[in-house]
Amino acid sequence: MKRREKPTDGSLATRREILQQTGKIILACSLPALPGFRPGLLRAAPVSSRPLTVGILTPSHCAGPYLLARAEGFFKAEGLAVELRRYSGTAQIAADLIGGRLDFGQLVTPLAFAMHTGAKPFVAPTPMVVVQITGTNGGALMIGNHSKIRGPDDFAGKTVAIHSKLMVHYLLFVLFLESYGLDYRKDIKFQVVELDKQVGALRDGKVDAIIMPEPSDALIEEQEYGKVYLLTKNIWPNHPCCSLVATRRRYDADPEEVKAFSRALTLGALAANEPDRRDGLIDMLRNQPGLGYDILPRSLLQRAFTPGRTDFQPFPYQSSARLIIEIMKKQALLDARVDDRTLAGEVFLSGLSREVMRELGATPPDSDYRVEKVLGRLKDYGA
Amino acid sequence: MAPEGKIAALATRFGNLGFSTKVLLAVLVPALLICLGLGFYMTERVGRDASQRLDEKGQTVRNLLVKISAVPLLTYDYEVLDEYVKEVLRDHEIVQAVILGRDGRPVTTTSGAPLALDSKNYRLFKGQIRHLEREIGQVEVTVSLAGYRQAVRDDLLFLAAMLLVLLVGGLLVSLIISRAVSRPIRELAGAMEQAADGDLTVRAVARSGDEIGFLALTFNQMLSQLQTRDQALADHRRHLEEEISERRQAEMRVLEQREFLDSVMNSLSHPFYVIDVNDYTIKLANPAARLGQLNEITTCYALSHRADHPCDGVRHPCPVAEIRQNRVPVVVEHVHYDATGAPRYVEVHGYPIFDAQGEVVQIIEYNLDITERRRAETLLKKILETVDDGFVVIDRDYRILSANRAYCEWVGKAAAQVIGGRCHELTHALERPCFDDGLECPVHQVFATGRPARATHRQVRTSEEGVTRVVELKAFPLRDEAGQVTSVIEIVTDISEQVRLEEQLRQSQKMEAVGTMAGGVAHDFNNVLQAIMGYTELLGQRLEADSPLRRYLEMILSSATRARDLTRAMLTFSRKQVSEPVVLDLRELLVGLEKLLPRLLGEAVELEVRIAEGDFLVLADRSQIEQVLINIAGNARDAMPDGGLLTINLDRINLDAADAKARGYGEPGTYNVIAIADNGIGMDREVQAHLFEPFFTTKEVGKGTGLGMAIVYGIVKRHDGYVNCYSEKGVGTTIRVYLPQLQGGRVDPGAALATTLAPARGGSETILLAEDNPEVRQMIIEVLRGAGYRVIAAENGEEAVALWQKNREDIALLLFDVIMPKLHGKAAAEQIMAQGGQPPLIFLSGYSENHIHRQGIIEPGINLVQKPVSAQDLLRKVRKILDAAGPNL
Repeated sequence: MKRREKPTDGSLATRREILQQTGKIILACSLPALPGFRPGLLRAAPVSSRPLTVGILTPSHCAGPYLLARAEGFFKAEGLAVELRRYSGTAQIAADLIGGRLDFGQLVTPLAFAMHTGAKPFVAPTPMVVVQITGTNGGALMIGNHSKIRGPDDFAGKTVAIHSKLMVHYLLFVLFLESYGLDYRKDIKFQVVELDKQVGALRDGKVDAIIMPEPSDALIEEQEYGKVYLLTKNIWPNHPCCSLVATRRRYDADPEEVKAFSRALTLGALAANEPDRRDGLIDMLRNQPGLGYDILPRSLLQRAFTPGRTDFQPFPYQSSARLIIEIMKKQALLDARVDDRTLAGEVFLSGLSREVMRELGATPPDSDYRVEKVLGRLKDYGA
Repeated sequence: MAPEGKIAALATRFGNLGFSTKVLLAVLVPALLICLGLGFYMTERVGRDASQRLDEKGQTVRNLLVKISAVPLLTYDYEVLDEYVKEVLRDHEIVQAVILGRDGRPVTTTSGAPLALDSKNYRLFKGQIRHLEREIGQVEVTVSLAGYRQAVRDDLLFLAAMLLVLLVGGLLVSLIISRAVSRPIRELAGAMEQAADGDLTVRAVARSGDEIGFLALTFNQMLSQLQTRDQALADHRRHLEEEISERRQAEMRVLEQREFLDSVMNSLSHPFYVIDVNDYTIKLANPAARLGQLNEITTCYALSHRADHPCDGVRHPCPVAEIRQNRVPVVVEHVHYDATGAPRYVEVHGYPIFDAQGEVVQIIEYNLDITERRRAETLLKKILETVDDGFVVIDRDYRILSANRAYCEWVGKAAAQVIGGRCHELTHALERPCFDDGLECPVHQVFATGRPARATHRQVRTSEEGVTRVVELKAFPLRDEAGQVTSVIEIVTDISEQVRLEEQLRQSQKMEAVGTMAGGVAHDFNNVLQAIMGYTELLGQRLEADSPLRRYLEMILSSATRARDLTRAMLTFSRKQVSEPVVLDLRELLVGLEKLLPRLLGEAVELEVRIAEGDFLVLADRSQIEQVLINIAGNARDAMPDGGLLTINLDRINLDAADAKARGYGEPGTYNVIAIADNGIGMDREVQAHLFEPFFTTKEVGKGTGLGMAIVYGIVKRHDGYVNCYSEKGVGTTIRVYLPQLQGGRVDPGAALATTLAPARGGSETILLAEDNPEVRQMIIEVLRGAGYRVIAAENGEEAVALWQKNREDIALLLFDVIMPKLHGKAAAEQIMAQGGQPPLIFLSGYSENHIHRQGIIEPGINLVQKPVSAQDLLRKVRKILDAAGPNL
């Protein structure tokens, strides 16, 4: 059944449902210690004996579900051995995915389309799939204290740091500037800075603004290096940020294994998305040594993972893919001849995600499409 | 009508209202006022609260919208904004909410009911939507005031209902009270009216045991007491009326006495007071006391002494204090001040006034103004104390009753020692009266004859041991009322100085005679010298230049010249010398004198002459100025018997008016100063004071004439100069002679020398010579003829006139001796002038100036040649006069 979803808060399941489901899962994870435990409540046996390699970006909010799934034993519950590899840039993850050195990767969503179509900076298409979304919202445009930027017009002539042009946050910011009559190609100087160097660049006044995922935005606020100009969710509510990406080849090689991985990760995302579990998420992250979370104050992470500001809705809507493709084409990041619907259908595995969620007892959206709202305009791509 | 009047009228009207009405008003009016006040307060409070609540709501909603609308507005999420607006409009008091974009246009589609927005029914709240301080839009929220108005209306209705209840309740309460209270009061009032009409038998009915009943019983008791007291009052009144009548009569008598006393006091021309002895206040005063003009003055010391406290009794006794202490009348003298503040001498007569216990309570003071009397006494006393003559009053026992300062000084005793002493003891140191020792006593004569008498005594003053004073005593009788001489006033005048001056005058006259004699001798001597000098010069002209005899002639001429100078000095001593002022350079004079003076000073005295730079020209007689210096130098020499240094300084000073005033002499101008200083014995002040007086000398008798410095003084004065002396005993003396600098005058020393030394030019004119002395006449004839002149000579004036008549056409110059037998030179000249002759005239004089003046010869413009004169000088004078007269016609 395909019907249009309300573009409200984007929640896929009621809070009560999620809590009930997560409780079951956690109970299952703790069962081994109890008499009569049967592993494989969700899955009877592991599908793979070798560990799955997964590239994640830390510290980013979208890495939360991976780490939570690992910490909570969701991967183990699926019979999966998972190795999470830390990356500081999506380009390396993309390269390792293409090179087959990773089974899965946490990528900024538009990157998957660029890889799939062989758009710049890729020289050849690599069919990719987005299994699920690992983070929604969670980005912000931050203004440095030294900057004179107060209104949209003030961005003219200023330097803005990004870590990739293929990040949703960047696409949205460009949309925002254009809506105020600025030519992002001429008026703004975008400077690509690695993720872990962006805060320093803003603090030292090398750039006027940066576009960053959490918790770096909260860090800037807490340290008073700058302030929030706009949260990306204000431009596009519930927009996808990073996704669980795999090559089509890897998917095709073992769809069940991918599905199992997605099940564990979806469970992690659903748990992380639950407001009541945010504190647990934060504690878990701060207990992960060497990933960058442990050095951040708890209050900072609380600010970063405030529900509504940073969320983890896993379902990959086709409409979201269509909107991203449309924006990418508009900004010449994709070939204009690419068919939006086809590309979205090839890359976004909305059906798989729906199945996973149903298996988890959650309530997935009936339709792959929802009415997207960006800069106050509604985008209805039909069914 | 004024507001106060209206209030009074209202109060009167209220007072006239019945008791029930008053009660009704007393209950209802406050109740009404309270209700109204409460109502207004509550209405205002409710309204204000409602208004405030509306404001808070509007502001809250506006602020909320401002806060939450920023990001949606920035990101064009108008749908969300619409939802915000809808949510806000759910409040029925918020009738409109609009969110405006940057361009001021609404971005929300929902805004609420369209309104005719007027401030009467709605309140608008506006706010700016800001994102990072930048305005990106606006919020307008409109709140309806309908709810607020409804709340106020509800409150008013509630209050009106409350008011109605209170009014009705108050009305009922007041009616009950008035019925219960007013009836017994009305009955009591009726009884009071009856009693007020004089019926004290009436009684009120006590109907109840409350306050009104108690009032009725009390009223009845009061009436009973009134009846009793009414009778007593009537008796007392009769007694009072009798007493008042007697008191009025007594007051009338006192008033009459007072008027009499006032008329007596007013008639007194002197100040009269009654003063309280305790506080010095003036209780009574007559018009002469000036209290009418000084009504603020209440005490005797303020009135009389301009003081703020009583007299201290030091300067003069205070009559109030004296009487209070001694209780007897006093008479004291005070200085009081009149209305103009001028001091007046007053004789104060004070009399005590005693009270019944014999204590002094007041005094009567009566003041007599004795200012004029005191002034006259003071003046007389001052006169007597000022004069140098002694005044003394002596009684018949020759005791001194009064003596002035001069007398006390004369006898050298203090006044206290003099008064009461005997005159012969004090002035003659005699134990018995002086006349007993044969002295002529004017006091004794006055007592004996009753007429004034005088005498001269030689007395020795106690304070001046060994100095005999001459006093003139004049005595006058002082008589009593019966005409008897009771005492004598004696005037003692010291005439010692007068006697001394008289002696000096006699000496002066003697010297004048000596001078006159000297002048006469000098005249004759001059003629002799004239002949000697003239012939010597003539002889010299005829001798060969290298004749050995010429030396003898020069010695003769030198001796004759010295003799001439001595003669002139003699004439100067006797002040009879004719002054011949010429332009004189003092430098040249001093240079000449420097050679002459060593001889005068002797070898023991060293001479030092210092002359400053410049010319020192004066118009002066050379020989007189030389005389001045010689006299001063002579005194200096005598002051240095053992030798010393004599310094003569010549300098010039400018004397301005201030200098002249400071020195006490001189007119402002430039003076040449010759200062002659010695380091001799010096002079004391006494000698200095008399230095320039005639006949004053400190030299031994026979050595000094006492005229040297007097001559100096006289000569300098005649030259309009000044002379002063500075001397210290044992150090030396400096005499300074100031001679006025000749203004514009200049002498050419070379020319002067040439004039003096060049041989005189002769001439061929005819000169009529009149000279009685044959030697002199012949000498002059020889000199003039020797120079080429034709000379017609006469022995006297008559002959001269006769010769003039014969030779008038030829005579070019008259050369007449002043003093001649038969006809003096001047008279002869006048006769010649009278006959139309106008020849130039030269007088020759060897006689005294005094004599010449007496003859009236010397007049300005007349040429005079002082004999003896050298041949050359005579010829120069003759030639000069002839040249000045021009060619002889």
